[in-house]
Amino acid sequence: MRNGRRGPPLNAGAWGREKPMTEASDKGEARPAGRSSPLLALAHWSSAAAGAVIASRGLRRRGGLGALATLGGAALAAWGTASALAGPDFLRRSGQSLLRALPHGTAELKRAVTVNRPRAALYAFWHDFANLARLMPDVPEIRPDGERRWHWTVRGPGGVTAEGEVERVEERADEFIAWRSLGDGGTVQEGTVRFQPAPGGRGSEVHVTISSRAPAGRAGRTVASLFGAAPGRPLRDLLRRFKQLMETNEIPVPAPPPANGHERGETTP
Amino acid sequence: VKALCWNGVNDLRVESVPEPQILNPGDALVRVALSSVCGSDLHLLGGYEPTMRAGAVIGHEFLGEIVDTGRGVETLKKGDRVIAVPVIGCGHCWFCEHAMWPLCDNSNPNRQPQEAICGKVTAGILGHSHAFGGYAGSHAEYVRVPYADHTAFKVPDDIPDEKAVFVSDAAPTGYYAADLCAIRPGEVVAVWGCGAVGQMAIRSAYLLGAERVIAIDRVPDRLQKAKERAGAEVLHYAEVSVRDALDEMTGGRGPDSCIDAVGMEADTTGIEEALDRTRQVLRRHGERLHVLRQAVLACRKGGTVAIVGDYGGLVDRFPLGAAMSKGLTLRMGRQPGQNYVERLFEHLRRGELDPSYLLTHCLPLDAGPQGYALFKNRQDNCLRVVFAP
Repeated sequence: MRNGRRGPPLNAGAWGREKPMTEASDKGEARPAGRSSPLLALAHWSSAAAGAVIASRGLRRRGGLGALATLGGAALAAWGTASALAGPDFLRRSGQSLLRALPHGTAELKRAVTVNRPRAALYAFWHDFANLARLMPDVPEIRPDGERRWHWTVRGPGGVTAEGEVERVEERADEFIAWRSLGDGGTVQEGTVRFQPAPGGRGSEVHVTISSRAPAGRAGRTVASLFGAAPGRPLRDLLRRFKQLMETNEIPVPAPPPANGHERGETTP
Repeated sequence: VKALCWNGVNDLRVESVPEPQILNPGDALVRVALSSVCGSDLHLLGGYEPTMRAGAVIGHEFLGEIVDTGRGVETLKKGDRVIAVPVIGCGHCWFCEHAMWPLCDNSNPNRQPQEAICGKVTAGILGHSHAFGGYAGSHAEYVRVPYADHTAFKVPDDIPDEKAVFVSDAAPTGYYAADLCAIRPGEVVAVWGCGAVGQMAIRSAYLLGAERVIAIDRVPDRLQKAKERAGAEVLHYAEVSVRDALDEMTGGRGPDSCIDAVGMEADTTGIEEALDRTRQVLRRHGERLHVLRQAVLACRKGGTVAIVGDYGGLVDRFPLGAAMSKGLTLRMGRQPGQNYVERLFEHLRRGELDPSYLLTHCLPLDAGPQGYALFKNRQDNCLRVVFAP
């Protein structure tokens, strides 16, 4: 799943010649590259000193050349000092932090499955959102609320844990359905499902796209499910159940979990 | 009800488990009459198969009687004597429609393990690990068979239990191996491994037109049965150089097709075996590739290597360069028994195939752990232990 808060992964091409940063150094846990080299630090401090000298000379001169020397010298001094203190790749790292701090409110998720049925049958099932409850074990109820609106409820051990509305906003018979989901806390998701013939007589391809517009930070959690209900329920599983139900009229279930106190028993990895 | 449960590496126990129920419209409930051990169970036992969970009922080669069916079942009814193919096919996905049953899109309820291991989800298997659906197996008084219309098959009245039970797995796996070789008249087929699947592969290769079949093993009794019951020429790999012997027997050409009916727990001799055992104990190297390496090198240029022995993970030191240079065809897979059941019943009926000699030991289910020990250690000329719950 893509997380909308993070910028695209940055590589060396954008910010310098170093290798892309590791996850560890991303979190500031690893030692910044280069800090351990006394030679590099010396070079950086020398640049800082040279910059300071140039800048002070520039201050004593009048005219454009003096101003240029002042600015250039100050910049060199600042770069040298910062590099010596924070490591040579501080520019790249500060750039990444800046990018990450920018608000990213939208996350998009795309999944597809091929179902060995004509698309009219698949469209007919999806057209009534109440049917989708069969694909989401955590959403026992999707009730019609008007002609193109449904009310969904998620129940946990402590009663109702989440609820919201979903509205079918656009449709094209046998081809396309678009919806919008209004959850609690201002979450809005937009989804589309497209049905198209699969090549080679293999039934229909079902393409689902979900865009989640949520307050930053919530997108990753809520985008995982169809309406923002059932957090953590991957869309892949839902589409797999859809295929199973459409092709075989049932959703396979394994044996019930063994009793006899086997819960803590041995497993192989 | 009584069942034989996996509780950890080499830890089998007979336990009381809840009676299986019809859970889906396509399910059938079978009262088990005979349930056989299988070489692939040894991989589960040894802990080489990932995603095993304590409490899992194992067993997947069986014969029994239908006691109940879901409302969607059309071809079977209460009282039918049936065998089931362990690899479950839904019968409706593109793969099942094209006779590729073990690749069924739908029968495995657990998406994630197989997707992580294989990139795609393959069929569910009875009595196997969580990755293959976590379906309870047949070493029990009752077993639930999902998608029963496409997984369980009525046994013709004139075929006795002790023959029919092996049409569940050993016979179709051997037949599939021979089928993968696409045998043409005059061809020579070599079969590594003279366990039950190897024995069936030898017979099947003859049925599909092989001129000669050469079988390789080191258990004297199995070699003898391969010779006397299945009609193979045999090689004891600890006594002769297999590659020299195969070259000699085929005029230097090598066998046209080579069948690996051994899989990931291949034995060998000498220092290489000791090294392998050590690696396996240390969990550093799960698969032992001697059979495959030998088959690739022994095979005729442009020939086929067919793999039906079970492999579960990653291998290295596979001679891919040799396979490339020799233009070999590598074919493999779990058996699509659904394609062969009727044909095999016909061969059984005509006396062209008789798997009943595979059944060397019939024990009550209570003797499950002892039965597996007997089978694993190849004691008492054991080929297959069959439990009668």
